[in-house]
Amino acid sequence: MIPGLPTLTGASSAWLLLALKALAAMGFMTAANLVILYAS
Amino acid sequence: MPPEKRGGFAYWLDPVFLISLAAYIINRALIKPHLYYYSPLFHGHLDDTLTVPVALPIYLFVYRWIGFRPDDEPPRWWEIALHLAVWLVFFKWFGPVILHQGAYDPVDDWCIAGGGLVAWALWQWGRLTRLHQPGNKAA
Repeated sequence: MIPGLPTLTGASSAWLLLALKALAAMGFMTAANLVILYAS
Repeated sequence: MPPEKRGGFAYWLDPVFLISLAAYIINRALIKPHLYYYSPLFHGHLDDTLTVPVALPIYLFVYRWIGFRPDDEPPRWWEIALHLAVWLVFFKWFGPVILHQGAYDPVDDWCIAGGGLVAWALWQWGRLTRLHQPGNKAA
């Protein structure tokens, strides 16, 4: 817990985790697409 | 999103993936370097056709590894369609127009989509045949 920041409830932390996973998936997709584009 | 063990998709051990990867490697390492003329099939269309069966299992494995994919079911139609849409925009517009990398050929779109359709049918083969068995009320 960081002082000054609001405490995450269980539901909002689950949504935050899902958003982080989606962000990671999109980041991987972009990087992999660039690899395919320049390798082919 | 709790992870589930449901489904039997093996990702990099999937036979459709392995056969498609072997075809891609054979084409890239053995066929293309020994062609003395431009072949639309071996220099372009074959690679495009293999895009979904080769790339998608790797993408889905990474999604599964980070916990974004909740189970190990074979690739669903909407997962294939979503990636097809992204790849068509990325490889056929963003690459050639913005990054000046690659070339656009309308036939490529059909090759990528056709490869995706065949791969989907192969991945869902067991389920499709089960649904059409006589006496199956789930059909």
